[in-house]
Amino acid sequence: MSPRLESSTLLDKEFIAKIEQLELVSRKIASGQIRGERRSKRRGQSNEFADYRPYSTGDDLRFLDWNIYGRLERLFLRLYEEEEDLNLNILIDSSSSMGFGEPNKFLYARKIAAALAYIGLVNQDRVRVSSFNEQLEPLFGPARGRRQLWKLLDSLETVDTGKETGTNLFKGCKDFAVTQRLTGIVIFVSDFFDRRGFEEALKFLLAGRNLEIYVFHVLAPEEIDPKYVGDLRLVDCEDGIEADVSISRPLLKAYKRNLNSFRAEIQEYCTGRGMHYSFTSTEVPFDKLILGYLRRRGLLR
Amino acid sequence: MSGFTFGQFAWLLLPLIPALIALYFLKLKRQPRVVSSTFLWARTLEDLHVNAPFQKMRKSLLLLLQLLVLGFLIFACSKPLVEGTGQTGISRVILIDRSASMGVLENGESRLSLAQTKALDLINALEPGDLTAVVTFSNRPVTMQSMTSDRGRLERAIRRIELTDLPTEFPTALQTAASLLAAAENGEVVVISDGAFGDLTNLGSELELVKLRYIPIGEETSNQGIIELDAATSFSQEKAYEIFASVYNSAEEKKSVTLSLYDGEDLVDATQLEIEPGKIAPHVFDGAKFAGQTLKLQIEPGGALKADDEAWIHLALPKPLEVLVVGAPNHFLDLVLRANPQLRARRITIEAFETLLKDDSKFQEDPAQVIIFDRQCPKSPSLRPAIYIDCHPDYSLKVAAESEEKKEGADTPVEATGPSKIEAPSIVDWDATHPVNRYNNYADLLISESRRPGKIPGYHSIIESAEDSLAGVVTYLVPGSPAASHVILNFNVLNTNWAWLPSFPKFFYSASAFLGEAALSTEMGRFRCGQALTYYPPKKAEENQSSYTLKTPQGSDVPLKPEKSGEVIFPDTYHRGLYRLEEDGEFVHQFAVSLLSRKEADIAAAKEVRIGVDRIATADEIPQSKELWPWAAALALAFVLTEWWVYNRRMTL
Repeated sequence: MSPRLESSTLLDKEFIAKIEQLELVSRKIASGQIRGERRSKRRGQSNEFADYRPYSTGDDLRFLDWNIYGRLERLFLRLYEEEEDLNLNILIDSSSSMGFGEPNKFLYARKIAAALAYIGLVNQDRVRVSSFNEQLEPLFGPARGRRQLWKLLDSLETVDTGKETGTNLFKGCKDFAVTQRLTGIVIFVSDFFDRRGFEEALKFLLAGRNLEIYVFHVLAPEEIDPKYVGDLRLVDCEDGIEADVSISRPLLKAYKRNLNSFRAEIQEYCTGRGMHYSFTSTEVPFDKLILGYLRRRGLLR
Repeated sequence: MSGFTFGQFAWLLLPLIPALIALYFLKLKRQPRVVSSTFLWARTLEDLHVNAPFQKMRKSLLLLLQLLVLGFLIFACSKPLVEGTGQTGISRVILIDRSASMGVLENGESRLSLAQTKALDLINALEPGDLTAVVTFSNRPVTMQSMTSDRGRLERAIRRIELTDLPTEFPTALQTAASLLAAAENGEVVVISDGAFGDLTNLGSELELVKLRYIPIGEETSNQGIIELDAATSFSQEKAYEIFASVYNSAEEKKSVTLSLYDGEDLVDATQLEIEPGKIAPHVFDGAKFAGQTLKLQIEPGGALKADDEAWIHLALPKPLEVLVVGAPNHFLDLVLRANPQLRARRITIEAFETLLKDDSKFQEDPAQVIIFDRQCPKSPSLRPAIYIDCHPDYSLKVAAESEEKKEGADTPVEATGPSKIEAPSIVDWDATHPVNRYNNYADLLISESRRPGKIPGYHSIIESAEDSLAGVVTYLVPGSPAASHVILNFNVLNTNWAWLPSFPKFFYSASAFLGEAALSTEMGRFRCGQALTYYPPKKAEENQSSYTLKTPQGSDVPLKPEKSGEVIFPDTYHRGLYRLEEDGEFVHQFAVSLLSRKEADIAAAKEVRIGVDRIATADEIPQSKELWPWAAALALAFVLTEWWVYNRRMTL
């Protein structure tokens, strides 16, 4: 095994061995740019039989099924699955807020990206990884093939959350929509801490294209269940906005209530528009998320 | 009329309000903490603010609560009262008992303290225009505060009242109260006491008209107390005393007490007494050689009142009493007088006495303290204490009644009817309470003939025959001279069998003791609380330059000066115990002061006061003011709690 993989904080060899056999599942059969390993809407020339249809003038005589003609004396054409490649776009939030938490949210997001991107690479999918804070930053790809793993890990290891870089979901999604015109799978990983809201931003992902969107809402345990005490002046690491709070049980209760409603808002928005929403705490072991949860949700098989 | 009043200095607290507002602006210093985002917190705070009540007041709710708390505290400090109904313009004298029995503890609190609380309630219920005076009483009344409407002074006067070990003397207190109300139109006396008023049926009519309310204090009834302690020289042993003690049981059941006699810390004698309810059990400690020391008598258990659980007696070495016997020789009397080492008697004839009497300066120099006129006496009454045997002077010149002992009617001798001599009078009664008769029994005394005393104003008979008085006591008062007591025997002791009876020497010793007080009597060794302590220095008054200090049982030193007449007097024996007198720093005498009062030992509170024929009910109807400060303080506390709650919920951006 490569020393680079051994020194990687994102993936280890045991985990790679576990995900080697997995592949990304796209429920929407979309057209790729080149022939790949994905089933296409188009009928093509792969070995995978798809269907029959009656012969019509001009059809390629090579695909006529002579056995059927012998039995029925009618001409039928054998249709084969066209296999295409899959576009896998991974967008991870790299704003300052992602740098918080124990375990760290950004590390967690990068691990998700690394694992899913690796699965994509192994399956000859077109993988592209980008980060966004106040704008979209391409990190990796597009690339395919197992050999790109080192490049992927390099790019993900080196990226960091900027200091006092704000979250601009809108800008990030808009940039993505403008630059990426292909269909495929979009993995969107963020903590959604953007005062401007998330609705307008996610609209860009939906616009016009038949993308299959997986939204990962990642929060740290202290954001889910804060353990603060006393009279505090909370300072936002991105925009410096302060909140004076006196921690009390009712306040914490209200905070959790609010967090739940926030999650519910995002979930409702996503499911209403055919996006897959997954909320996870960085406390949840990463391998469980990939091997357990995502398989159950149908993203992987 | 109901009213509402504030304490005097409550307004002084008002500047606290701006101070609080100033403090409010000193904001809470919060600890800064960088977090991933305040986005959700802000949303939470907004939600809470939106849902919080009193949106408009929200910013100042804490201030408002704090102001309310402060307001209620100021309100509570001002001791607001809602007063009961009552007449206005009342002049009221509050008589508060501070006698020994008020020291009884009722559920851990003394009766005096309960009385003070009741009195303070009355002060709190004062209406504008009411005047109140505070008088405390025990054996004498003390005006703590004359008529005023100033609550502060009245409250201070009530709080100043201290418990004493003194007995109760209610009529004089009532007189004082009546005199304070003399000018008032709408006056009343409120008595706060546990009773022991004595007989009030014969008060003056002006006192019977005083409107009286009575607030009884105390529920406790069980007490055993020493009510008498005395000593007499023992007849069986030389230089020895017999100690007499009486213990009273006020409880409603039979009690058993241990009576112990101590010499300092050493137990000298002890006995067990069974006392029936409401009865007195006497005991005599006989024959012990107790001369020249202070003995303590103690009972155990002593019941609710502690003041009467112990008593002291000081047995001084008797000093000889100078007795001058005037008249023809009397073998028996001379023998008796000679036999008593405490008496130094000499006899002169009546002529010699009259010669002596004529030379005033010579008579003044004569050391005689008691004069016995043995069957012969001059016409004018003696200015010195005297015993008249079978004769008496003409008191019609100047006589004062023996006021304390005198009882109207029964003891006033009527004009003798019939012959002036009584043949073989039979003794039917004697006043056993009189000091002269103490420990004496005259049942065996046979008298062949007695004289009728005739009409002697102020005469108090101490031995009675069926026909007339056989012996009596007169107090002779002449302005400018000290009062002199005279004992008059209306029969010739030689014409009786008395000389063979024990009562004969005892009578003369007791009479000499009664008259000579300072010398023979052990009375000097045992004082009741309230009795003045008197010391007679051996030096002449004009030569006495010494300074005297009395050390009280409480440990304070009271400097005393000799009176012009020579004696050193300390009148304020408010507490029981041993008082030590020092002359120029040297110990000279010890006085034993005890309660010794049956009235005080009977601690059951009287349920009513009866003056004349009027029955005075207890004064439940006295308006009681309701203090509001506990409610105000409780509200303040409630607001503090609310503030705490609000504060803990409150968050600002």
